[in-house]
Amino acid sequence: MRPALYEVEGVGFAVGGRPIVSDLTFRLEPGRIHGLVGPNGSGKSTLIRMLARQQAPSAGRIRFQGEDLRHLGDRAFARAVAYMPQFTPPAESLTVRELVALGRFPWHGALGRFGVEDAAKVAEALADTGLEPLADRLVDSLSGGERQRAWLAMMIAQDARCLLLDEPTSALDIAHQVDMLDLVRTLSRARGLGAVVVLHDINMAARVCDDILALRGGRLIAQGPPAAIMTGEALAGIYGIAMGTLPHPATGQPIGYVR
Amino acid sequence: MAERAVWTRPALLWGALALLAAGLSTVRLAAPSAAVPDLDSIIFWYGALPRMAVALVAGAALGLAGLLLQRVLRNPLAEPSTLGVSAGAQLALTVAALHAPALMETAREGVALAGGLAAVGLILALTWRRGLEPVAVVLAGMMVALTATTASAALILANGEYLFSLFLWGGGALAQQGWGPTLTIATRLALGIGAAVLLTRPLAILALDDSSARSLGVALHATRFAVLGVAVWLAATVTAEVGVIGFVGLAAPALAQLSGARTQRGRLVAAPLIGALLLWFTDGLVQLLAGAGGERVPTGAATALLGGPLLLWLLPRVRMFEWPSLTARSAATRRARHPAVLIAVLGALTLAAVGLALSVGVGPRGWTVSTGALLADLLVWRGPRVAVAAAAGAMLAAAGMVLQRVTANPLAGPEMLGVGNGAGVGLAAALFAFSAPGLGVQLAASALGATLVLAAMLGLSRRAGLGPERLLLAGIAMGALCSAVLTAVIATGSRQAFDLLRWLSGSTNEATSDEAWLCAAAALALLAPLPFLARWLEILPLGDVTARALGLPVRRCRTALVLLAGLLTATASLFVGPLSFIGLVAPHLARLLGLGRPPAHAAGSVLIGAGLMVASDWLARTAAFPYQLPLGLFAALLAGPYLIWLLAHEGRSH
Repeated sequence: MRPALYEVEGVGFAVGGRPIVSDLTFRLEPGRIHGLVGPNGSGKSTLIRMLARQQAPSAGRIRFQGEDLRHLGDRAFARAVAYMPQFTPPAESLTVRELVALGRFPWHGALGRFGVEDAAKVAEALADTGLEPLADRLVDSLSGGERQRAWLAMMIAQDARCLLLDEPTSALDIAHQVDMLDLVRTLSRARGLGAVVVLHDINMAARVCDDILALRGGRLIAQGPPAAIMTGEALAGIYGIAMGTLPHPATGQPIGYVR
Repeated sequence: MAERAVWTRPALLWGALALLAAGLSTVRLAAPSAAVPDLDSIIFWYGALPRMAVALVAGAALGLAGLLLQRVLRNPLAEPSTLGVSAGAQLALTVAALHAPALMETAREGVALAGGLAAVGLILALTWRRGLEPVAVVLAGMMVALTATTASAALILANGEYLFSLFLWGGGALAQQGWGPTLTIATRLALGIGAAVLLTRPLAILALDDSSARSLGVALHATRFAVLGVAVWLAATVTAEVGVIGFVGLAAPALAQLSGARTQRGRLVAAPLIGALLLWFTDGLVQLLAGAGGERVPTGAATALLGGPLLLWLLPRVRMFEWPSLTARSAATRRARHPAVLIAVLGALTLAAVGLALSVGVGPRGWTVSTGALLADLLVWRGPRVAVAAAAGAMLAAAGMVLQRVTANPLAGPEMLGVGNGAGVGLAAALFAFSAPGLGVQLAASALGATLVLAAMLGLSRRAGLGPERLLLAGIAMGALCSAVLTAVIATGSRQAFDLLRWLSGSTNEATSDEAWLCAAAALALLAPLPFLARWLEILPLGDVTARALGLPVRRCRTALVLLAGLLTATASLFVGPLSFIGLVAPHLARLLGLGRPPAHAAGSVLIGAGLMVASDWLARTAAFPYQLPLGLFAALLAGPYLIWLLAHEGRSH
């Protein structure tokens, strides 16, 4: 058996004594896309921030490929895991190529040379995300979907084993949502990358993910392949309202709806 | 019952403060001073009692003015001193005292009012396009106020001790020799209260946004200008009679609100009362301390000392800023196609400025261009000051560039964050602690002061989660706090006071070649690490989260860069004073020219900063020959308008 991508044991996070998430225990396999779903305030963002080491858990332990998260160096961790926050900051006066090149920082550091290999990785990331025609445009002049793709390209250039995406589709229309998530899926398959994606739309999650983790009130209430989660009973348990599923007219995959 | 409980506790608190203030005054009044009973009673009736009365009415007037300004501009930070009213009035009075002394006798109030109105008018005109957005108004106000204050300080310095009392007065000295000022302020206060009562209803509606106010049938601009006029009149009268007293106008309405005065009418009553109490109490404290040490600390400086921390405390608690952010820009900035060429051009321009400053001068017989042997002779005099100016400009620009990138805030700068004034406080401490501190001690002390202020600002912004705008406001508060300390020190009139006053207005007149070497060496040493920090400086503007995700040791980077910026600012401001805006403007200009990447941005900023500072120095030397004007003033005059244009210009893109 391959070592797990992430092993999470009894992890909790509390602010001022009020628990946000508590007693989370699960494992994530490498090379697969994991969707984090749940209602607002269920602790999805907190969980992914802890996986990204942006926040330290107040209880429990997280292991990445068998190593405790606390014992990894800053740059070593950044070489292995790339994270995109829910709101990407404005990248004033950076071109797309320059932003993507920042993804090489964990490899060359503050003083190391930006070598041939770095340049090749950047070119590859631009090609894989279809951004080559936009490479010399300023990031802030792009549309929302293009900007999101530029940040994804930066994560690809980072050459990590795992992508963490916090609601990458929240500001996009449906066409760009599909576009973005299909791109994540393609890249994950082509490069064997593991990914954890926070998603609001359960149908979108079922469409892209190999494995879905459902949170509610800071607890993990279900984990399994989309087929296991996409039942009226399970969805009602996650969102707290009566729900049902019906087969997609074209693919036959179950689609959730509110009763 | 519950409503009463809400009211009683603050009322008790204010009652206790009133008792305390009354106690302080009683101690003063009852203190036996002279053996002659008649003199005692004269001092009582014409000195001590009017002083108490003037503190009460001036405090009330400022409280009311602050309330009206905050209401009409929908800006919880508006008050006479943040809007430049007091500084404008002070400058007008200084100019009048120098050039039309007769006016000071007959139309003192009119002169002050003209100055105050000019300042407010300027600020409103500049920020009109931005819809009088609070941050823009306060920033413009600060710039106008700083420029006016520097100009006043320069005029005072140029005219020697004759005007020193004017500076003392500028700090808000409440000492009285009669009832005249009290009566003047009291009548204006009564008129102001009358006007405010008449305008109660329109005022309540003005607190809504413009469109709802208009749809409710309020003559928007007429009401607004009427209220502004009343408020400025009140504040200018106080300035004319007793000098600049800051922060009472800010604190009184805020404290009234915190004490539970929610209705318009309640605040109209509470704010003047609280203002009166605050000033009375502060003045009592100042007199008590003065009695102990025998030193003349103006009450205005003391209110700033109390008000600065209050503003810092209020910032995270006040609800505001639903305006579009200053930093959120729709249009992306331009990028230069050939940065290297641009940098070469900037380098050539800077060299040209240096050449100009070295060779061209004004003599008794008009303009001269010196060459050859004459130039070699003059170099002994001109060389050091040009070197100091260039090095200081370069350092300030570099510090500004680092701060703008670390805080991801295009308006951050050593001046904006109060760092320069912090260096001044450090310098003041060194001047008093050692009898004749050498350059090294002065440098270390100012560096310590600057770094402490900077660390405090960043710590505060992280703990309270301050966004870029609030960080700037916190910086303004910190700057006001430090300059209050400086004013208090300068008001002692000691030998150190003159040293500080000279430092405050920024002067390179007496730069020696030793100082020039030291300054240049410090600049080289501190600028040398910049190329190695380029990658940090490129990633940090993207925010902590992204920086951490890329494996940057965020805390360590930040600490190192802040320390570097503090050292750069302290060294530079030791030589050219705290006010120049070069540190804000140079990096901004470099970016506007299209130098976006850190190495090019740094090189461009440094060259622009050095060039601007050398040009200011040359102007300061030649503009009013044979007098040498302070360099800081000219740098502020060169950079200030650009900044103001920037504020007005950015509004257009929204």
